Amino acid sequence: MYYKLVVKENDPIEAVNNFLAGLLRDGVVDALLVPQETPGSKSVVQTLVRSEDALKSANVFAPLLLTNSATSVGRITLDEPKEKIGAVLRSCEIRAAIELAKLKQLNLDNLVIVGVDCLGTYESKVYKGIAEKAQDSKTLTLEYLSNTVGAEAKTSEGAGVRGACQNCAYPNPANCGISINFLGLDVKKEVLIQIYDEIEGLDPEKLDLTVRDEVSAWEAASENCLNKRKKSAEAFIKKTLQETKDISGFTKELEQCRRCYNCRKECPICYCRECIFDSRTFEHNSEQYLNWANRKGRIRMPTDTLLFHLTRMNHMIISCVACGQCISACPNEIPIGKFFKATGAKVQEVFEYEPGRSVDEEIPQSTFKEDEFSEWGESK
Amino acid sequence: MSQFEPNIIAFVCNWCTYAAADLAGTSRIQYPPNVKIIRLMCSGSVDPIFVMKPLLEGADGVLIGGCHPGDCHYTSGNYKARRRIVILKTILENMGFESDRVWLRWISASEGKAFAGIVTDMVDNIKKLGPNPMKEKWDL
Ligand code: SF4
Ligand code: SF4
Ligand code: FES
Repeated sequence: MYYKLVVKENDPIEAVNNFLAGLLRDGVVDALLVPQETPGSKSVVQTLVRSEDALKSANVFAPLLLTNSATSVGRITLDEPKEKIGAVLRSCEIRAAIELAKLKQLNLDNLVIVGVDCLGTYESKVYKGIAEKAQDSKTLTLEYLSNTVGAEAKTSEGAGVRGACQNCAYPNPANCGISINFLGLDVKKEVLIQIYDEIEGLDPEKLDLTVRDEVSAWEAASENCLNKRKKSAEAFIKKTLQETKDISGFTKELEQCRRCYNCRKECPICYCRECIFDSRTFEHNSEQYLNWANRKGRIRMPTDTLLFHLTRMNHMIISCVACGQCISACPNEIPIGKFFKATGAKVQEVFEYEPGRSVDEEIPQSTFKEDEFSEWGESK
Repeated sequence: MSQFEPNIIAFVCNWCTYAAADLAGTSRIQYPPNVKIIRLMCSGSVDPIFVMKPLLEGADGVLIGGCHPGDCHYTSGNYKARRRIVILKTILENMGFESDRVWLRWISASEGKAFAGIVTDMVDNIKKLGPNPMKEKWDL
């Protein structure tokens, strides 16, 4: 069902915060994971909120995503809490959450996902720069939103959102219980709220929502954005695959890899409790290193950098939601996620699998059909 | 210059392909000596990292051998292996490797001859491909 949330005094952030406060007040959720502006106004971080008054600096629209919160949702829900948890998430976070649920690292049972339209987020450095100039995060966000009608995301400085966002074909959230939508709408006047399933305790009237039948402006803007993004994603994938026609396309990017593993740590999908690269497997005795160096004349130290990235790829690329957090996390600006996106698209295509599409579709590695890929054990 | 002799690593399951290799040996079926066999309990226990490591070290080919579909000693290890290899080879292909250096083959315990034939084929194929370029790369 579509509802209209009326915005007063040109402030959609406040209107949404009142709505979210209502969810807590009415017991629709007992706790809410929601992004909030930090006191120093330099950042916006996820917070777990228990009371309405702790929602004052919430800001669901702020164009910053320091981490993919699917990991946090997993932590909060995994031991089957008795209470109902709400989580305000963007599409890349929801898609990652769906994958984590399939990997049994997140529990969807007592969870109400509140999805938000997203036109992209800034690299934290860029955000900080803008925040330093803006009066506060709120002004910055309103400015950002005012540029979104017609689904273009630009700032007054003209700085772009993260590369991953520019090529993200999911501006609207899916698989949520409630969504907060604004694409194509005049956010100074209204926000669109959708309620998908029957949600216990949710009474639209108490939340100041009025039924709305007509959402063509939102639909048109969403479609427009989607089409543009799809096109740029296709071109991006094609270009990247062209670069990796030869392995040097990848290895030259890895020349500056310092093996900090930030890409792995920030990846919401990387699911192993202990990564093999943190284990003793890769601690060899002296003779081993010397022998290796002997064979090739020289070896790079520490060893196995390419092996690390390719192993991570093999293990989780099928579920990569292309959130780009691995890129943002890299201290040396290695665009690691671009290779995951391009090659991931190819791997996912083989299995007709789309990560985050549905919780009912099994992850290809965890299942099989007897009658498939038969040439791959015979001649391929 | 001496002729290029490929170096092939084979991960084979204990119940089928290893037995086939053994049979080839005891039946004195000739096959090229280029293959180094590593026995595992099941093809389903071949993590892609085992395949990647020798490839990046410069092995010219990696063979994964398991029981025919339906015959895995652990019921479904080979079906899972197949999916993993599909992923692995699709990655190799799209990341600029020669994915033909990795072969997955079903060879049952009684197929000593088939084992010898596959190894011969693989050696021939890899001779055509030439040495693995990773041998020369130290910057990995
Ligand atoms: S590999 Fe990178 S882009 Fe893909 S899910 Fe992980 S962090 Fe996101
Ligand atoms: S975050 Fe960057 S430097 Fe660190 S391991 Fe990943 S690719 Fe290498
Ligand atoms: S035991 Fe041979 S493939 Fe599983």
